[in-house]
Amino acid sequence: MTPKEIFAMSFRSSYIKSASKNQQVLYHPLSDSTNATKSSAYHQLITWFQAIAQKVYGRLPADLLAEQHNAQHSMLYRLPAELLLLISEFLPSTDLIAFRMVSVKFRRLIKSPKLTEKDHFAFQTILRRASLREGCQRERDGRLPRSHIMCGTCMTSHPKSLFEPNEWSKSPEARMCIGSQGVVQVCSHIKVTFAGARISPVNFVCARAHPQNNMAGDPVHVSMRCSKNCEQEVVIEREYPLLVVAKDSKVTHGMLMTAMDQIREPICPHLFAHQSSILQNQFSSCSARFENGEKRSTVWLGEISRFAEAHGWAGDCHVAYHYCPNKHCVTSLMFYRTEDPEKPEEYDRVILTVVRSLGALQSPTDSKWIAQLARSEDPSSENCLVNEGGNS
Amino acid sequence: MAAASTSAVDPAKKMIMLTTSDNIDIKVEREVAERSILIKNLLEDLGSEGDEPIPIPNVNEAVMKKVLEWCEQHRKDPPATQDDDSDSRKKSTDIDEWDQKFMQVDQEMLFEIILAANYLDIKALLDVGCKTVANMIKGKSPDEIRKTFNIQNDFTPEEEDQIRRENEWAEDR
Repeated sequence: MTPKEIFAMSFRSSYIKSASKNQQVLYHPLSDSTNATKSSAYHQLITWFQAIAQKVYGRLPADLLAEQHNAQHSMLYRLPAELLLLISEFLPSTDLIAFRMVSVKFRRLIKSPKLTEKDHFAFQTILRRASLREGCQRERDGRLPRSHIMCGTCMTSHPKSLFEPNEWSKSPEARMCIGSQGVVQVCSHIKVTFAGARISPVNFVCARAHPQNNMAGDPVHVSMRCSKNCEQEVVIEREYPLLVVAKDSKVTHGMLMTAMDQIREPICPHLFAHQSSILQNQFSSCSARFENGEKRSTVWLGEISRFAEAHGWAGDCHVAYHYCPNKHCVTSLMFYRTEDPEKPEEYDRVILTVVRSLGALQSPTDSKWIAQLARSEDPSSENCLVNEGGNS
Repeated sequence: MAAASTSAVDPAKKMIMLTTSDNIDIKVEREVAERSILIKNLLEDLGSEGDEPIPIPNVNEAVMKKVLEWCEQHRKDPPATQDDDSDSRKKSTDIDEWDQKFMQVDQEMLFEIILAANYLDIKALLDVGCKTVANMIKGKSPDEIRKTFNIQNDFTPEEEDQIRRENEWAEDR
């Protein structure tokens, strides 16, 4: 007899003894028909036993009760040790981890398996799939909050608004949220999904020619990489050589806008470079935005002040820094002037750099990621200034 | 048993009697019953008369019939190779089709079969039973395993804490 069994016995006998002393009919807490009497004596006893059990075994009756239940009602639990071990021999290590987490008995009986990195991943997948199954069941039973539905891809629940309406009626296992379904247009050649963007390392460069009749005649440089100022974030960076100008000439707003008109791809889902009139309006307000510190990114500060010092823009066009007006979209544009690499004595170049942050790519529901998704039409997103015209 | 079955004289075809725990007598061909090493040894010890029924006090009629059904199907199988000590950890859980169908029973019967196979010493049937249970465990989270097998969580909060710490790597990133 194990100490625990002895304890369970004493539990029973002393319980009955005390009960008779109180001259009340009490139900045994271990019996099946604990259709509980709420008598104070009962509770007194329970707390008393809890105290003893905790002192002696460091375990509460709740655990003892669970153990008792298992020993009475679970056929698997009741199997002799050698058969449990035999069963465990048929289990791969990932399932052994789960099996050992089921009960004290299994944990003591079965040796902890040696785990590889792959096993870790496999076990995480088991847990995520299990939570998906549970979530789907909850949804079917109507036990999810009414505003939420399950996403089969993320294996968790999201607010309904994060799904296309035609996804709502699908079975939860097959459902995909906007973030995992959608694509981000990196440049005119490359689209990337959330799962694709998560594949590390993220660094890549698009080597194909981009449809831009730039006056400098140089290729547009497109790359995707980890952000310089925040390692966790992934950014898409594009550099458009806009103009080649004589060393001492001023760059006018007009020149810039004309050059921008040549860029035939959207800057982000909300901004189009060739709709320069819209940009122009934005230009006048972005100094205010900048001072507000909204979306401020210190990396650019040096660039801007250096630019302002060294190369004057014509007239009021001193702000060379710009953000996408969409509240969630972290896209910034920067113009800078630099020496022409071929004829540094005579010419300068004006270059437009577009940096789009995709966020930390932790979840496809991240608003930064969703804001960058390419969309055919734009039904909902508030704050969106450019939603007609597209890239026609 | 390479020799073709011919006449009633064939000792393999001789009928023997088993008495189950609920006092039911079951008639079965000796060759079928001898899939059980326990019965085989008993028969050998008793001498080949085999007229009196053999008591099987740990197995009831329903389970015994099920077990004998399996033995009937597998009567010609080669005897199990006795290399179960070989420490090949990763064992396959493949089960042949007939056995899979055979094992489609409720949980109570499944475990009764396992216990009977263990008691009667029928290694191949025991393996099939354990593989079936292993397949029921595979791919499930601890909670799902508990639900499947009617097990309650009997860890103390402290133990639970320790397990969580040990498995911190499994936390969703």
